[in-house]
Amino acid sequence: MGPQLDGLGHLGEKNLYYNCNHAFDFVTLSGLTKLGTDKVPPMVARGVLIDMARHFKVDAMAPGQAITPADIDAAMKAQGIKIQQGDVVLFHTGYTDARLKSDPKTWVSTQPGLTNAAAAHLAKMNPMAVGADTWGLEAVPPVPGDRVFYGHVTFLKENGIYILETMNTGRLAKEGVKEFMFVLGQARVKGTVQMIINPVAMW
Amino acid sequence: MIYKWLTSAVVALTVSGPLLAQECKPSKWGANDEIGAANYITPQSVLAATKKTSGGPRFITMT
Repeated sequence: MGPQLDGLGHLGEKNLYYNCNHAFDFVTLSGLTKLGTDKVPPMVARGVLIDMARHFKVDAMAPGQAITPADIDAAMKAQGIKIQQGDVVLFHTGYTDARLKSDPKTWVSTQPGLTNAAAAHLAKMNPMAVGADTWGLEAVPPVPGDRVFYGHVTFLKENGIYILETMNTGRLAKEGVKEFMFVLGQARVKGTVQMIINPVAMW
Repeated sequence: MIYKWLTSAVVALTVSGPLLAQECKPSKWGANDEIGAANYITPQSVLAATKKTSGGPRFITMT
């Protein structure tokens, strides 16, 4: 398993994608003619790590455990983090470090993560990308009343915000790194909805 | 038959037009934008990001 970037053509709602692009107009058998990850410029930005495992006082968050707007605000306050426009915001849950090897079946079928409201809350802060050390960023199964992966729609379709998945945040969390320089150059494979990536954190 | 088909096509367009307008939000970076929040990257933001390294930078690949 490696980190992955979800491009703006990864997920839409009712065939509508970012910037009012309709699937019929840009999705073809040989790939996307618009919104492909090959269009994404080199991403160099301030990165911030929000340690949710620390917030919940555990080594690893539980399958399906929710991260709410209040959790995000409380963790940021306690850890002295403020999100600025254009940031790459990463959440450390400890989930993949704890479960991928020992319990791959559970790992792939559930995950802790954002609620729909948490995604909307983050989108208002205008980050460039939001990610986590889980395979899909959002709580699975979702909390009652939430739609599955609706945060993807909020980020990608509604706001043009990228999603980063299965990010190895373990060492940053272990060393207490809150802020870093994030560097990512995409493989320019044409028409792709997502891409396996090799992101770098410098601090 | 063709008229019937045309009529339903017109009705469908009339109905779906306003619905589509509600279901999508044009990007604040313009109707042709394809890179979304990557537009936040500026020379100033990149320079500010470099200041987050400590001079003898430690780095990891998050793979």
